[in-house]
Amino acid sequence: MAKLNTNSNVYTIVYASVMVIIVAFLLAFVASSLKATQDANVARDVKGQILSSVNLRGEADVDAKYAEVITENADGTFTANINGEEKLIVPLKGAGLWGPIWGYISVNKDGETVYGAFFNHEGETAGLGARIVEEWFQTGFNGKKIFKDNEVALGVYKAGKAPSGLSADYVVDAVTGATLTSDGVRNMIQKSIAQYADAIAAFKGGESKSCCGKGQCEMADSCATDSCANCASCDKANCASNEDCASCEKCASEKECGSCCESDNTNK
Amino acid sequence: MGLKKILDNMKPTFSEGGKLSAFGSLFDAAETFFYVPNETAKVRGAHIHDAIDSKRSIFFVIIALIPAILFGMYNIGYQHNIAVGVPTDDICGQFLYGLGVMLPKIIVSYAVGLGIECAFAQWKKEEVHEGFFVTGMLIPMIVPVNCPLWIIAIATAFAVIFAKEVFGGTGMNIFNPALVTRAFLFFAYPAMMSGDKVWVNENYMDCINGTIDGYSCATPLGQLGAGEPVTYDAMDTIIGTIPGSIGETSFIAIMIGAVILIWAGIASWKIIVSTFVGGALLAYLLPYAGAENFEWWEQLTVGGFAFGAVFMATDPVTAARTECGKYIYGFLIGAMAIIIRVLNPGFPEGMMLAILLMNVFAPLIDYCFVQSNINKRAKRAAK
Amino acid sequence: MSLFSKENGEVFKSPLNLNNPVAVQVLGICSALAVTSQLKPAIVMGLSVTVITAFANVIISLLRKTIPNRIRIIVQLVVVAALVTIVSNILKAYVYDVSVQLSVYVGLIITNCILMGRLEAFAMQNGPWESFLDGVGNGLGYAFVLVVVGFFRELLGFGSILGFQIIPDSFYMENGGLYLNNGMMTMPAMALILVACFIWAHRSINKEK
Repeated sequence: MAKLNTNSNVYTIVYASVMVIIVAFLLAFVASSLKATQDANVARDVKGQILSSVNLRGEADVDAKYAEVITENADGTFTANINGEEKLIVPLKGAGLWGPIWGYISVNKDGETVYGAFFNHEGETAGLGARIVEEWFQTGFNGKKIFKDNEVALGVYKAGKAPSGLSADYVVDAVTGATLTSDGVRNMIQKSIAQYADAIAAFKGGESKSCCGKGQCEMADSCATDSCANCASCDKANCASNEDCASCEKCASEKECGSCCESDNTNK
Repeated sequence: MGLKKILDNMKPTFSEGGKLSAFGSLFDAAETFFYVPNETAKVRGAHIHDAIDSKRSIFFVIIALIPAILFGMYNIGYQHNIAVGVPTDDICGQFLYGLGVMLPKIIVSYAVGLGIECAFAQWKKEEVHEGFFVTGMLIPMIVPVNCPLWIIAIATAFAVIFAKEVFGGTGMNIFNPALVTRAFLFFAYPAMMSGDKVWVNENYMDCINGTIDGYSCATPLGQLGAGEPVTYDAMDTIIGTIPGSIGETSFIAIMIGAVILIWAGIASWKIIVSTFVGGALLAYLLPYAGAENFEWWEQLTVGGFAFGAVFMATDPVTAARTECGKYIYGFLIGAMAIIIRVLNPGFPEGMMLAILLMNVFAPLIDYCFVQSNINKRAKRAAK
Repeated sequence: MSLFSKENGEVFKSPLNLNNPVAVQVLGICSALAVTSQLKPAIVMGLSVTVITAFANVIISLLRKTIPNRIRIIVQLVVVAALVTIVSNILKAYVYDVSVQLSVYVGLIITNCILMGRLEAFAMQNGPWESFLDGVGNGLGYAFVLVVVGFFRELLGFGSILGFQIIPDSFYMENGGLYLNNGMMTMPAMALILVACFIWAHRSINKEK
């Protein structure tokens, strides 16, 4: 057999074509056979982040826990069921100092109190802004209040730099030295939550039928009209302070205030 | 001449082959510290261009630093007293307090830096160079008051090894070692180098929690960077009774140093003046939008601008050496510092980065001027 | 020639030390800076490069007599690109968190000079077995530097090794201690300095050779 001329044009073109076809088939096979696993991984990563926002960090089996706890809503929010209590999870998107930051924040059934939060970032300064992924910062949100006078008041502030008159219930301490990333987190929270304010209001008003729910008074049939009127004024700051409570006849003490309408209903 | 005799008697022990030859460089350093060495440059080949050797010129720099050091010590005590809520007129007490804070930093910086210099000198069988005397004094002056000593030690070691010794020691470095120390601190331990809590010694929580009315622990630049109104007036920034790195706060003390350096012919007035011109021009063109209580020219009196212009930019090793190049070099440092301050939200202060950046470009500036001179003369010769 | 002859041993051993691709030839620095901020991605990257170099070497060595000379670089690239894509897919499927950390740098193995260098300089002239040894040796030599750099960067930058906290929490400043992690170790600039230190130490040890 004559020796192949490996320098001829025909040989070169045929060689290249055959090689490319073989490689293409090989890669297509690998990519398609692994695609399912890869997609599951990406999804699992997101699920882990969502679970972190309801204080379920480092779950061994993310998929199972997610399926057990979280249901996805049509409007982009998520509902979590933690030990029988419902939480609404709102996605957050914003800008940090150097790049995008994002996260999830979960709200209690009262539509007011933060249950948990999770943040992540792409490239914030190591040791400063990058610390928003750390658990101590995120758990700092737990139990904080969101709305004040129907505005999102919850924010991250440097110690001593919060707007005067804003009670500590709305203030989370910023990461020391990371002013701009912390400002970014604050803007992200305030903008993103405002976008989902309706969803939160609906979540709050939905099942508990509390007439204290913002704008829910007229609709909740179980509420007597006159007690509602009082409660509505009471609801303004969710009865956070005694002053607001005083205007609500039904709320004798600060303790009862949060659930004044519910107790009202049961009394009837 | 008892001392001279003692030194002469000791000399053989430390020379090559002597019992303590491992410490020869140390002995040499001590000897030349007291006496001008008796070996002079050979008649042929050496080009002596100045009457004073590097050891004497370095002590002039130290002398020029003294006003800023003394004021820095006083200011440590002054800021501390305000922060804890007991302002006093006891200047002496405040100074002593500051001395107590500053002295350990100076000792650590010298001990670490000179230790490494000696080790390298011994290893390479060279003399110990004096360059570190200035660097070692600058380092404590450009760190915040609260900077822990071990961090200063690490940063000093890093700068001496990686900014100086690897390039061949004194006179061969590309970057100013003191600024490399600061840059290392800035990037490695950002929480210790910026923010509100590092500028006042101890009890900083008092001012952060707002227990003292009208007092903030932030520097003017920190306040500008965070978009807050500046709570210091122009006079404070000129005298220097503001929080900041230890040596950088007082414009007056730095200017006294500048006069000494220029009078002694050690620092180039061209660099200093052009740095201020560059800074002033950019500060005028790029004013802070909506910054209250802050004039454009205060950019030159706050932060490390003046200190950098006088003591860092003029470092003869890392600056441009051609006379025309010095104008360009200084101008770009000033301009760059203000650009970084105003336009980059991540860095409230820009002097350190501006000087380091221009350190890189100094040889290029020199090259351009030397080449253009060569070309000019070549043309003239060709005629 | 036996499989474990002295020459073959030399082919395998020399890139580990005296002819180390990173420390001596100063190749593959880009990825050495990018993926070594923690030890785990450094190890995975090192192993990926080892696997790819070894197999690319074998494949090219097998094909070496048939490859048209005019397009040999393209052929080498296609082989490397195919292998890299496969490895990248496998990483995404089975070690997702590491592949996120490695991000584009797995794909950029294609441009790693070590690979092209070995293919062009070794596999085109030698048999499959020698090429395999050469690929594994060079890959491991590269991986070794990455692991050393990654070890120090993670220890000093995060206080941990492979994610396990080594420096006790009570040492840290926020818990009343004195220690702080070195943030610069997490930046690529510090990797350059650590690689330089590695080369410095390597040259000092092997001065006479």
